[in-house]
Amino acid sequence: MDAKRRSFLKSAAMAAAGSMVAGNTSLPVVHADQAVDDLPTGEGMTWNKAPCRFCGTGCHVQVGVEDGRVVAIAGDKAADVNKGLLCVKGYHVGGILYGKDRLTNPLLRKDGKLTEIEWDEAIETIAKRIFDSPQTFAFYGSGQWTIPEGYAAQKFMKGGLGNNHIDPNARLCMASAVTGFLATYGVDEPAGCYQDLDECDVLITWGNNPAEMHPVLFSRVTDRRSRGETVRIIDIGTRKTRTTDAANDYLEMKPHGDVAISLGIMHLLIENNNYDKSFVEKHCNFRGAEELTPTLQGEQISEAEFRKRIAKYTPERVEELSGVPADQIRMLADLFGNHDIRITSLWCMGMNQHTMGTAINSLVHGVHLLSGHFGRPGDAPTSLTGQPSACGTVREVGTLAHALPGGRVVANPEHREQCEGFWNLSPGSINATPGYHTVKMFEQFTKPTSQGGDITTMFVQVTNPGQTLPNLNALFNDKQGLEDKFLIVSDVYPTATTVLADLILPAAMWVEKNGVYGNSERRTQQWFKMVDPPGEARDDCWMTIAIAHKLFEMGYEGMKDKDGEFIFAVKNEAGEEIPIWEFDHYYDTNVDKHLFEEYRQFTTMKHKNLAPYDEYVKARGLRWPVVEQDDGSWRETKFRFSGFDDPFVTAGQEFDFYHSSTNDGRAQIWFHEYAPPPEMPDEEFPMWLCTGRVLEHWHSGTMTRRVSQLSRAMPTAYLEMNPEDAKAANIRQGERVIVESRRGKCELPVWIDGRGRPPRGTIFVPFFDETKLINNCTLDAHDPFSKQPDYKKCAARVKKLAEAPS
Amino acid sequence: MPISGLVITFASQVEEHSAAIESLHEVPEIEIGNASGSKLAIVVDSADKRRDQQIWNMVRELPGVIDLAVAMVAFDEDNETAERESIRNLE
Repeated sequence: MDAKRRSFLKSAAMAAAGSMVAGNTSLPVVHADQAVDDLPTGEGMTWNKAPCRFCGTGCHVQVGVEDGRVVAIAGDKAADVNKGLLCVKGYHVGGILYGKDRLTNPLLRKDGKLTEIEWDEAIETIAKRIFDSPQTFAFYGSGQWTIPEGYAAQKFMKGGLGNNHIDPNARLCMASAVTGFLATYGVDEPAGCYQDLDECDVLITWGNNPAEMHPVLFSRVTDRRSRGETVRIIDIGTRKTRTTDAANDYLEMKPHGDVAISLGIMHLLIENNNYDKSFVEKHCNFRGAEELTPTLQGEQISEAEFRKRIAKYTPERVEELSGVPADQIRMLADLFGNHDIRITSLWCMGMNQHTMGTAINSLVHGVHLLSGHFGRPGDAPTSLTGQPSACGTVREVGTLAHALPGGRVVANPEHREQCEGFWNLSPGSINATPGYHTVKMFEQFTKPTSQGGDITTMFVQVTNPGQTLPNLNALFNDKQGLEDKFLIVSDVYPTATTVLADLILPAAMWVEKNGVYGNSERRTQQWFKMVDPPGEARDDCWMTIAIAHKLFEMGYEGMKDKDGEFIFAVKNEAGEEIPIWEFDHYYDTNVDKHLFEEYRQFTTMKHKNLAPYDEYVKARGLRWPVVEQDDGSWRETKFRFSGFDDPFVTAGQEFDFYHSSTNDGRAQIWFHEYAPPPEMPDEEFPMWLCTGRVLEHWHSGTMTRRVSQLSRAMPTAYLEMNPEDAKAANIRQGERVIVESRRGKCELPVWIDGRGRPPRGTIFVPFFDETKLINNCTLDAHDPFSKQPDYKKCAARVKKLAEAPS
Repeated sequence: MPISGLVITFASQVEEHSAAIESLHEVPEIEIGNASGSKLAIVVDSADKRRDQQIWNMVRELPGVIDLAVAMVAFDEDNETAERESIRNLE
């Protein structure tokens, strides 16, 4: 690097640090227009905005580009989400583009060996397999899909092929949050937003570790303390974490204890007669699960019946079930019984990856509704997402086996008809039967065709199921040796999934392409392509459109609309079709914008209205519903269902749950009986195993492990163990052990009293390390409604390596 | 050769931590910028990532330092990405 350029970069770094100091907080608040001005340009460097590629927080960064390469990243101070602050992953997000082993050519396995091929052959190979057997094809996607990518995949499958076997990896991380919202409010996604974190008096983290998983959000809370504000943090968890370090109270629960705790709070609110009667009478119904065949709708029960059912969840009974002392249950109930304070609940995988995931989500919403801690800034039950567009793409575009865009479902004839109308398809084009959810999809793919395994071709985009699926030996590794099963994987790096792939497609990533994400607080965020992808790597959205067009050329009827036109046809102003299926012409137009504007039509149907694409170009994201004002401007919504902010609440109403499943504007307060976990420790497998994440690595580590700073900071997975358990087993710090369950095993070094401190009888292993696949051990038992597996609790044993059987 | 813009947060006003500031001045790779309240801007321009890590650790351990945040990090053609053995199966 020459001296002039070095000097330039140093001045840019000093400007960025200096501006944060000038604000004298770690979250400086500045006017939007100033944000880019203090990042020096010159030397050929340009800056442009993009949301971070990692978690669902939705931080914005400024990306510095010079000579076609990302050379700098700065926190974006104009972004309301992060106000200039980024976590350690965010600061290194530019480095994820430049790992040395980027995939740069399509690779086809021929005679067992991966061989470079041309894109034409790759697209033709895929199209031919689909053409020959469209109903045994499955598309497995992701909450990392951009909104246009997910929308294109959704239209390709459900509109083009009439095949509903499309599901995302978000099934593994937040499906129970979706079913919890649907069961409670009749419509998905949080009512509140991140402003709740700035205004709450009490923050309760339910099996959640935002200090590591959503650090910028957690900083918004801890920063308030540095400004002299009082915010009480109550951490309910199965192990001590960095969040615990900042908490005022730590309530250590047994696995599944959250269900009992929420029932206990509701019991005391009722018993002490200090629930919010006015809110409940005006805005809520009571609901319970049907005894014989429970459904997501449940059955209406009276308040008296609710009282009767919840009567047995006394603090003492809850202590027995959850391990949390009865006095602490009373403390929580007293807080919820105090209407003068504001309480926000946060949760993520701990509550969602749960065989009672739908139940516990509904119960925590119920605690807030029963106590009236809802709908005022700071009073909110809020689930977080782990992927950048789990909300925008999966939940809103509906890339799930049962869903259609805009909150529609395939099982509803009216919804199918609406969708066929928007897509200009012949009536009956969309299949009425939901496709396979993730676990079922992979079961069918890894089961021999002769034994009923009716998925024979699988296309995986933007995710890594070979590492992240539970019970890998059954759901992924069994694919090996099945000659007629064909796995196509689009990714940016070789992964645990590409190891078994028959065809690997090199993908463009993040700012190598246009994109739109939707974050955890209903915020839709747009960015433009800034640099070219390496080699022959190409956009995932282009791949989908190119395959669709190849099928169109082959005469596949589904790829034509009612007028005989290609279903992804894009025309220029002269009415001529732009050949976007040819990569050389893909950027002749903004395909994202075309797809987004088509998708936008769906968003008004569940009051998740989006603004035109160009509004997102100007903004650092807008929270839906976004509605047009009389002066032509577009206004976002921070607090749904609250009359003071939500434009769809009937005038004069304080609250209106306008998508109520009971069609009466009311939310549902659910009762669910506590049920024990699906697998419990026993003599043979005496420990509880919980899996999760770490600050430095994002999910399966395929990107963050290519950034040397992050890789060096956290180079390998490990086993967290309680010191007493380790001593009893004669295991010392750093020794290698075998963790084993009934499904598989994994070798790991032991870290005692490290970052997390599990109680006796429990162990924790992060899943980011593809050289140590802990998901060989995890359980594929799943919630009956959300179909989300339970990664957080299964029975395991730990043996010193020397003592373990070979 | 990483260049980072960092923000140090002290337990109290920056001027009350003269010993720590003196220690920062003794590190040739550190350039000290503006201070306000308990926060101080610095830039670290180090020869390699190992040295960068050493400086980072040293700063965090200075008496009175309660937090060290990154404001900007520069990537460039010298950027080292992890030298991992790829699991790509080309054989």
